[in-house]
Amino acid sequence: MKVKIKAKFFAMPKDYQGERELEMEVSDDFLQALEEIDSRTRIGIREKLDKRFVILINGRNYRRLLEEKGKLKEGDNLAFVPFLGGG
Amino acid sequence: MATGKYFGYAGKILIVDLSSSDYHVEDTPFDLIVDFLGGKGFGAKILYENLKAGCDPLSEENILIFATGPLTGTIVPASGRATVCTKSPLTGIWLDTLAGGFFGPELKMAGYDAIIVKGRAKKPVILVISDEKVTIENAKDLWGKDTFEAQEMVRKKYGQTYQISVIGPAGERKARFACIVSGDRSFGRGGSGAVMGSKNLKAVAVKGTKSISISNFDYFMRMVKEAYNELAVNPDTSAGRPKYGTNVIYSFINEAGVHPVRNFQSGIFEALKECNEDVLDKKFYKRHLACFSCPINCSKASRVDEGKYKGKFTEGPEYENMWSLGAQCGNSNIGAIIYGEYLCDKYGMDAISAGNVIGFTMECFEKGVISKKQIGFPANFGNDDAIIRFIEMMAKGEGIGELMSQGVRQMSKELGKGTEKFAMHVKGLELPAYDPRGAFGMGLAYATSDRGACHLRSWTVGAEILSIEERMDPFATEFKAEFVKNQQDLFAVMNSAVVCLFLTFALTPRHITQLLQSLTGIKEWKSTDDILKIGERIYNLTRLFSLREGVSRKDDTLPERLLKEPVKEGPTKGVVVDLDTMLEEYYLVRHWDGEGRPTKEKLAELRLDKYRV
Repeated sequence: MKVKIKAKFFAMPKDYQGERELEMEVSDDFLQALEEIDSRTRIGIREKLDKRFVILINGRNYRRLLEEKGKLKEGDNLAFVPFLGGG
Repeated sequence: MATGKYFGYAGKILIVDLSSSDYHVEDTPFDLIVDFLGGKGFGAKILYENLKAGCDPLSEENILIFATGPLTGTIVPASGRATVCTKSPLTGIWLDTLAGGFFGPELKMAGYDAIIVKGRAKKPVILVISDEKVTIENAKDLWGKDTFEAQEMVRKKYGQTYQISVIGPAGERKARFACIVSGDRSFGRGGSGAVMGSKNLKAVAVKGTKSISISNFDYFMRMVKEAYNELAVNPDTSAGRPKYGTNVIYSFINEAGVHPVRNFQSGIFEALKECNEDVLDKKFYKRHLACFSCPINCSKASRVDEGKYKGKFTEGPEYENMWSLGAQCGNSNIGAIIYGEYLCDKYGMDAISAGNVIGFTMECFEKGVISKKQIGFPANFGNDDAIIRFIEMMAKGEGIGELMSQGVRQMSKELGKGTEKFAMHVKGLELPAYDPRGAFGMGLAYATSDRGACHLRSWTVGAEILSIEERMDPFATEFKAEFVKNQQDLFAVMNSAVVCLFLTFALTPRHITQLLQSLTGIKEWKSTDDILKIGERIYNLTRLFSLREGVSRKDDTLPERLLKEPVKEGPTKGVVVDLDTMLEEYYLVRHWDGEGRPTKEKLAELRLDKYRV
């Protein structure tokens, strides 16, 4: 099944991608969706996920979704945020 | 000429008594170095041994210490800091507060590990230090001047190469969260500027020409290169922070619902589109700036190019102030934030506390606790004119500004009417820019920080939300106690070696240990564990300091809003902080008893037996 999601790119991920927000239609299977996002953006998920950035789904770390059902919902926000130390 | 008889240290402490207008110089004791490292550690031992419990922080009994550490002023990256230690007039407990810039290195190059300022001058004075030459001079012409003007006057009179720490009008009138400004950086939190004001000490100007000696030059330079290399490959210190400054975290903190809005009534700022790191970078940042010996360049010079604040500028705005004068006050006008931060620096006030108090006042106004007549103008959230006017009023003690400048704890105490439930402070220090309802560890960090609510004694947000360590669920209590305790001890080391905490993003405790070993050659520091034990010793001694001032378990808490009032939207919807569970575990991990007092065994292990309260 396909769902509409919003991909957000903050700080360095925004520099990789060149824009801050992107609406996309992707598979509701999270791992499949990551493949699709990777092929349609410049973000570089394969080389940089968990090395240069992580993904928050609706504000929570993506691993939580994987541990649960692994499915995206219509209207989910996927934020690509850099590894950071402090403010 | 190299300074000091110990490698890495200046080897001397300058002791100034303003009451008798006299000074003398002592050797830095070796046992002080071995057990307490420098900076914050020196301050902890000296203040514990020399301050009487219960003394009024604004009386001449209080002591103000400027201190450097062994790494300060060396080629080690980010070594441009200095610390100020004193008893806080805002909290009544322990205070150490640090500033970047150039003052710390200059003090060390003048030949001093620390300056201990005692007593009170009869009239305003300036302390002028040029290597061995120390004078206490009349500062009548400087009194009343703002921090920028005063620094300019001092440089003009004594020379452009002096580094200066100065107070503004807020410190002169002893506003409880007045800060000390050095260049464009601040010893920000806790009211050290008011203590300096109470001593009639307007400024300290220092110039030094000495060098710092190194024990094992080749080993030290190898470690320095390793440190620079680590900073150069770390995504934060090499890319994010140099470009976006501390605001690199702005959007992600919002996304996680942890950016407090309107005095912690929400965790999502609806104005994120106008207020974020990209807007700052594109429209406001004009130059990158750095402190002494720092490759990170996290500081930004900003200017407003259009709108009602056109032409206003600041060094910043830092993330904390983007929040305190922004979302905390419901304000999305970055021009107002830049101007507000500039005014706080100019008058010498901590912009975190200032913005926190303004947000509190705005909530009091909207709830009808304070009227328009009492304030003199409408003060709804989002009113940027009100923010600027409040800053002026607090600095000058005008109208309600006088009460506001005593801090949110005192203000809510005087207002009553249930306002203490949303007075956002711990032990009197106003909360900074993270909502613990979306990162429980920050709740424990605030509750157990030795100077009151602070994000720089432990910062759990990254580990909890980015889950670098997978076990750190932001809404769970597990593992937070050990994480917070370990970070508090490590940060006590950093603040005593006196280097920037931002180094810890890229360097490990092992790096810091080897830098210290190669620089000083001190044989007693055999391992990383030995160095971290110094951090633990310092953290326990600052705890003993505050216990002696009457702090107990009941004070290791959070504002009621965070414990009982969930937010209504976003990823933190419906959550309140489970502090008790974390606190119990924290006391166990620290080997403190049920009342938060270090056990006899722990004090013996840390060689602090003689300080038992």
